[in-house]
Amino acid sequence: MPRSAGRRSDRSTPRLSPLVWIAAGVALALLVLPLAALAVRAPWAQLPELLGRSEVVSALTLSLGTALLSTLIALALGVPLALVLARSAAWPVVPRRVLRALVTVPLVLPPVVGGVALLLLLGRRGLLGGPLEDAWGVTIPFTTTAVVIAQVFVAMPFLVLAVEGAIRASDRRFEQVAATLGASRATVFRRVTLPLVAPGVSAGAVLCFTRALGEFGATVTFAGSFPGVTQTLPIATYLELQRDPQAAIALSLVLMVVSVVVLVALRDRWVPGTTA
Amino acid sequence: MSATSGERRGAGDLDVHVSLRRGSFALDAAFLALAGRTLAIAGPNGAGKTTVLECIAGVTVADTVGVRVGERVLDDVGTHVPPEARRVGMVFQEYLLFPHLTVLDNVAFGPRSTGAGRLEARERAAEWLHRFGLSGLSDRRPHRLSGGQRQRVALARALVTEPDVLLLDEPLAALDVEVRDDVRLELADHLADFGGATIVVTHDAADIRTLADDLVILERGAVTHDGPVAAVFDGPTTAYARRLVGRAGA
Repeated sequence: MPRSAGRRSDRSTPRLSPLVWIAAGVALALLVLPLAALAVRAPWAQLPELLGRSEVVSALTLSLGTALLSTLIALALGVPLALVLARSAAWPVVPRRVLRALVTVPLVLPPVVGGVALLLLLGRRGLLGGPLEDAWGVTIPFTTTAVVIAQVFVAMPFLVLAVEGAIRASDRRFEQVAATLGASRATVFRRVTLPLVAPGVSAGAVLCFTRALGEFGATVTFAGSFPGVTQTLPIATYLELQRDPQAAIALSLVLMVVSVVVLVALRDRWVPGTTA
Repeated sequence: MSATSGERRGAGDLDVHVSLRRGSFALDAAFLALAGRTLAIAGPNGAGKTTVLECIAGVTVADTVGVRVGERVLDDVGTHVPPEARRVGMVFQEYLLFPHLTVLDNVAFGPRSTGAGRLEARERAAEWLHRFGLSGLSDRRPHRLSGGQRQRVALARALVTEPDVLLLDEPLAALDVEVRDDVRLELADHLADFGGATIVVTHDAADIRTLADDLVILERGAVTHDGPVAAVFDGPTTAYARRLVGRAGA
């Protein structure tokens, strides 16, 4: 095999097959062209008027507010869950894998199914929703609360897994150093563990926020689409497409810009040096 | 130097007995480290040197551990004082300075964690940095320090808490060979000022000669030599000890 022996010498600059380049080009076009079309066909002249409409403003406010609240809840609950998950490495195999699977399932579950599941738990006849309404008269489905719950359900796993990865990658010996310096467990967590995993936490929060902002399936199923109450930006966009395509395009632009701005701004400011 | 000489134990002397089994690795070591003196623990890789230090610091729990400083029991049957309450300072391998804190805040971490206010903690830290000739580096982050500077900061960070016992895990191994001699001499000066028992883990004979008064050699989890450095260097009885001392033929 003299030929292959000769080829092996250019291993330092491996040449990709033209087929790989073509496939990669198609893949990139698939990702970029739709967004380009959106920008090209956008009704730029009417944009201020379209975005000034009260239903647009209320959908945008609702979306940003609920996504922000969902992210805060996901942070408060998800970081402790990530800690437990990271420490579960020392557990026996079965409970460890079960826990990981439970956290991961919402990631792979179609959001609509998540919405149905939430209805069965918290709906007016749901496992918890029934007693809740009977005892306190509390109804959750088709309220803004339901929007937030749906977003947390869908988006929190992203945060949990990002934070857990950061915790596992961090050197536990820093915590030991802190302990030998006299720091209590709470101090170690606050002044060492948390700052060291902060990049992971902020990356997870960004992922969680953008995922919550874009949430459609679980929200529309569990919370419906009442303007001003549960009609978030993605749902409003979908509905406008039937009625007023120009408005739908404008809304899509807003969603795209908000997502990209959040991603870029937060990555540069709070996630320096993390691997892309 | 024998571990059973409890009746000779002084107020700051460290009495250690560690025994544990992890898979095929077994460790069973007992020795005494005297206050005001430096004890070197030497031994081949995997002999259990770091594990012994971690047990003394309380960050690893062995199957049976007896650790006392004077009459103060840190570990015994049914007793385990957590690391934060042991008053045992440790300089870890690679120093492990907190990357998110400045040099000043690294050193202030101990006082701050043990109840000092922010200002007082920083004052005490600044005092130690001054003593170690590091005042100009207060505002730097650890990644912008040289290896020797990192080592001094790590030492200052451990000493500012005024521990009863000081542990150093291979304090020179992370340094470039060219600076190692200077840093070693300086470390010897600082250790001479420390009043408690000091333990240095190393496998470098130069470290032992310069830093240590007493020497314990640990091989495959067991103590093979224990005594004043000169005595051990005079009569090495194992192949490892002979190589360490530099007398291959003896």
